[in-house]
Amino acid sequence: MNSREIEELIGKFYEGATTPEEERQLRALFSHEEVPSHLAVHAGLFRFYEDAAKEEIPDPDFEKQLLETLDETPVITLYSRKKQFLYLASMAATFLLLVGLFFTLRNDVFRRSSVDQDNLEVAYRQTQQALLLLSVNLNTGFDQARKLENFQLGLDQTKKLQTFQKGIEQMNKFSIFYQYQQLIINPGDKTRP
Amino acid sequence: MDLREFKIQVIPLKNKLYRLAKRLLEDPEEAQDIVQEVFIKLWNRRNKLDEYRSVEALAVVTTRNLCLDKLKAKKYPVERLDELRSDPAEPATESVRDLKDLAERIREIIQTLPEQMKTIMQLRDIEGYDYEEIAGIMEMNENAVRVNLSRARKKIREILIKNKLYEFQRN
Repeated sequence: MNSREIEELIGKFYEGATTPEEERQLRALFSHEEVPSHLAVHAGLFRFYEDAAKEEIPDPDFEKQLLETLDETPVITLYSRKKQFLYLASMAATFLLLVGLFFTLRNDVFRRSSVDQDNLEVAYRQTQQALLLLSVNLNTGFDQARKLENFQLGLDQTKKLQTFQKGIEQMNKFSIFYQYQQLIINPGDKTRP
Repeated sequence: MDLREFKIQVIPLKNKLYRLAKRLLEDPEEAQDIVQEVFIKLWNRRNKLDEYRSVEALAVVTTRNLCLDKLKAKKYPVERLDELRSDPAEPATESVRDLKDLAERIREIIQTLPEQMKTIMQLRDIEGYDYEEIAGIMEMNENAVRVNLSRARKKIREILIKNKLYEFQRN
């Protein structure tokens, strides 16, 4: 690679237009000590990249300790994307089923009530007739109830008759008294009690 | 995935993950703790790892997310109030003595970049991922990755040239 080609490549690099392969070439190129002075500013950056890529975890026991920790760690079962999808899909299906059922049943109810609407006038008239009949019979009933009132009056009269009965019983006592009186006056008369 | 497979496929990522965590957290011990946490998380999901297209990408995403959580948690740390009161150190203004010094200055410049640029630069320029892989990890489109990377590279070049950091003082 000549100097002009290198400069072109560096220009592309700052525009983000170089491929990873070209960038590796630049890194390799500038890792050499001798760099033309007008390219020194870029050399520093590529050398920085080169060194930074070599940095490692300083703790030499890191991996050993990590493996010990991992050995003790139980498996935590997380829902995979597939399971999550199935879960959501089943929820959605249940929801749709419920919505479907709701509308189906509701439409059924609508259809039934529409049949009723066709017969609404007939039903209205039947209801009206039934109410009229009830009203007439109610009036008859009221008349009957008035007769019952008269019956009540009759009952009151019979109570007076009861008093009369008591009077008769008293009179009977008088008649018995009279019979004994007659017996005392005429003791030979056996025809009398 | 059993421990043997885990050792072959996942654990060799440890240094890559460590470098990313250290780039973001700027603390070697915290970075190492994060890597351990990432491996434990992946190990707990070992029965599901085969379902992922790339376990490596999953490991990188997990590392980045744990680092972002950590950074969020210490956004206003009490112990750093003293540092905030004193003047922030001006990075990369003194002249550099050698290549090692220059590398340190470049590291400081990268620290000042936004997290997204830092991560993209780490994954591309240091770890050598292609744009497609980075786009998947960052959940960005490939062009956005390229634009961010280009800005990061130019920013570093601009600061280096402005401060003439590439002209070593020779004794």
